[in-house]
Amino acid sequence: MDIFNKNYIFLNANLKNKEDAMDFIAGKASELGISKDKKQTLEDLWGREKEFNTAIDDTLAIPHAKSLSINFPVVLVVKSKNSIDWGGENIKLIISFLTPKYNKENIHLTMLSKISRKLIDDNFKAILNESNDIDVIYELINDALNS
Amino acid sequence: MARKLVGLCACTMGLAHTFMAAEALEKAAKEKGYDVKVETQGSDGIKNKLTSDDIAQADIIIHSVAITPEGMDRFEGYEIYEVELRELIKNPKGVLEEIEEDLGFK
Repeated sequence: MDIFNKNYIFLNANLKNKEDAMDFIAGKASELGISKDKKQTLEDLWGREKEFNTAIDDTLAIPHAKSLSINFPVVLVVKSKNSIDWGGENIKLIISFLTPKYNKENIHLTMLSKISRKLIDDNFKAILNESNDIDVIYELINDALNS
Repeated sequence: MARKLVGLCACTMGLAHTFMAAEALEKAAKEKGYDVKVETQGSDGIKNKLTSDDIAQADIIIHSVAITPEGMDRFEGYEIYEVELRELIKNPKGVLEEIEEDLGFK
């Protein structure tokens, strides 16, 4: 039931495009017991994406969903081996927030707001983009969540 | 005395863009020497709520919203700059410079 841990970090993911990435996220959420319904999670991720492309710039995309299928809030980090097209931006770093549709605990939402604030920090994003060290990525994100 | 800038950020889900935009705006405004206060209406509720005094004293008021936020009546009668969330996240400095030019601050 962690909001974040080392099992939520995926390096060198073999993704060809955005569809692959979304499927990967929903699939992992399901494997890890975060989602009880992969299809629903995928649908809700796309729902958000169609409303508003979640590539922030050429360094990062933040697909996220509030979904009935999600059991508890999490942050997932996916790094693609190759750059993928995300609505016009070529990105390798994906940070996904998944939360239950009706969240009981505000503290987790506040943690997500903290990490969101960090995501405009160019230095923070550069380290996440460059590092392939799971410990470095974990520390960085975990510190941001608990700042 | 430093000029005052207030902002209000709210996106549809209130998970990410709201806070990224608020942070971007706070950072850029501070760099430019403003006294800055940015309200967020996200899924963790209303944070850093702007009072009617904050709004009355502001030299610049920015709304960066994708929903109809709560408490819009507070802003009645004031000039509001509306900026897209994504634009504010990507280019906060450029947004501020455009507004400053519009207001003849430079």
